[in-house]
Amino acid sequence: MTGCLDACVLEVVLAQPPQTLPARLQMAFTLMAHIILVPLGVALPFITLVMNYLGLRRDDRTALTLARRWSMVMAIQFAVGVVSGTILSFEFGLLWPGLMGTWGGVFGTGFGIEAWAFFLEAILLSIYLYGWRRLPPWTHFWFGVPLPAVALLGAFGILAANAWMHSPRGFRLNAAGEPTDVDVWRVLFTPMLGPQYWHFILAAYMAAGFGVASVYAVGWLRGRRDRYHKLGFTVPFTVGAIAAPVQIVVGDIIARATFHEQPVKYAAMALVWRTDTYVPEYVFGWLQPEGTVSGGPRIPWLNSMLAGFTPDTRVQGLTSVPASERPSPALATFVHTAFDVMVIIGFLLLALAAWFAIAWLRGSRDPSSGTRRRHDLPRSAWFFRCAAACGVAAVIALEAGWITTEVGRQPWVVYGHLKVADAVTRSVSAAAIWTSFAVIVLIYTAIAFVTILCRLRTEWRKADAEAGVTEPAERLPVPAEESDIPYGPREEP
Amino acid sequence: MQTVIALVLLLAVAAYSCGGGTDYGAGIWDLLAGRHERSDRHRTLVDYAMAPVWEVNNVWLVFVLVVTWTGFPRVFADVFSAAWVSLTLAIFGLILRGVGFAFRKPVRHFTGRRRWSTVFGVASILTPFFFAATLGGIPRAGSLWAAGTAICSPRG
Repeated sequence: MTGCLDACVLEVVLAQPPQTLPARLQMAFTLMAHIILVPLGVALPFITLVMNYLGLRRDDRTALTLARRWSMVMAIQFAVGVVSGTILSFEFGLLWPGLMGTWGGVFGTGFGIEAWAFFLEAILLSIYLYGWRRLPPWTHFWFGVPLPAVALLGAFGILAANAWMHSPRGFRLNAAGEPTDVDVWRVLFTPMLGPQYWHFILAAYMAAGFGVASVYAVGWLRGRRDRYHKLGFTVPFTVGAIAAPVQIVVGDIIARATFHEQPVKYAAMALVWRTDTYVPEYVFGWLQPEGTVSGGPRIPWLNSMLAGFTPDTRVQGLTSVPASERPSPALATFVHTAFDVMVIIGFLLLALAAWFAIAWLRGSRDPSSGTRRRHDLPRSAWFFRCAAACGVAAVIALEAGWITTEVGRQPWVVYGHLKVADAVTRSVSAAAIWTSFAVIVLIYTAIAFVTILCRLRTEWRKADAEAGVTEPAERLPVPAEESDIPYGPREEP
Repeated sequence: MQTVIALVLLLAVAAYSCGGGTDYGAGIWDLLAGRHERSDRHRTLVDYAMAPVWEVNNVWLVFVLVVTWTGFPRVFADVFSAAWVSLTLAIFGLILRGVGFAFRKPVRHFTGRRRWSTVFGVASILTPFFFAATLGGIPRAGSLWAAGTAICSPRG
């Protein structure tokens, strides 16, 4: 694998201006960090509102406490997301002026929609967060209700822009080769938009649902089997479990959309070297420079079946376009590996969701007292061990899917129109970009590290408090807003 | 059409200068609040005033960028190529500012809190400085452009 990566790096260095590699790495790193926050932004408001509704409907203080704590997670996610999102919009200009200078006027509308949705989201979120104590309970709930829809609108803007880069249209090229006559509707609603949008939204709901549930699965495994943990596990896990089977169907649809719109990317995903019928599917494996695939079991005909439902479907291979217009064998292997990781995790999560659904529908009987519950969580510790891992797994699948989408279109940034190497900035040396990349990695890593340290300290302090150790004198009083009582009269500051 | 977009851009820049400017000012106040235990009251007040609105204020900045690259893509590309260094330093400032502001809240230990406050305050001075340096450079670059001198542009 290291040999493969070396080859990959070498080829990028040789074929492109020296700024390309650090610019790509910096963009990839900042996007990869940002995309971890996105599921929480898109799906956590919905999960929190469900919990808030249950709490109000059943007059359940445990549910309200959970909803309130999750809304604090939303607040932190949003604050960090605002910063990392601002960095991304600066990077469009700092790293890719060739893309924005020529095409910014064509596909910028999507970002405009996103910025507008972002305003609404920031305002509504502030009302929801600060309304816990200041608004009547149901009024507060109804102020939160538009949040999931606004989050969907924001995601629509970004994915419209991204889908346009994968299937660009809605413009005409003039004699100088520059785009004119922009048709905004055709730019927004490109063929890849539908599949990409629903695939991503479902991925976000799975990552957020399974991610939140996994926290309470860990608590359950550590023996905290109270109502708080049961509720905190069941609601988000149900959201993830409902999204999982739909995602398999949508994933199949987007694979076929890619087959029709971006055949070369599809060839990279499945390691198809020559255009052919009766094409096999490889599970993992390496694409050799001369076009054979080594390692990894081979399933005959499956790839043609997936592309067109019959084994005699003709699948376009990588060699159908010149080497300068397709991902190299090393990059294709990378895309294929990411794709396989995503698919395998998707099916594992589906299996876990099925386990949960069967146990829930069967209910349980307490052997000692003989009382029956109509619905219950699975009893097996193995279920909770898997559930504890499912959050991380869903985020890995999300990242792998994003790698498949973005690396699979190489060397293009605007598919068929502009190559990455022609979009990159030439105004500074590669060394300058390497430096900015290093600084950004350093700051981001420091943030993660300090966050972990803060968490550790909180845990230690809690342990100290339980053991009866006196608190340090320097400590300031806890602000009223950090206490956990959801509703009630507010102390005057 | 160009005039309408330019007007929208002007309004957005004005809104960011007011909203974001207040937040930067709060950062500077925070930095100058002193090193006494008492200064913590100022910091709490800054937190209390900024926390609900600073995200919205920051969205104006994103909005300015989006309107520029959609309405005036060549200008966007040229400005970001020419002012690469000051804008890169500005984004470092933006990150550090967010980190400083976010981290000092959960840190209840006085000295730790002051360290993050200093990060927040210093970044609040440097970030607008680099933005202003960029804006100040635009008329100069514009006159060079008008005179036919090529400024750094990726496609020449």
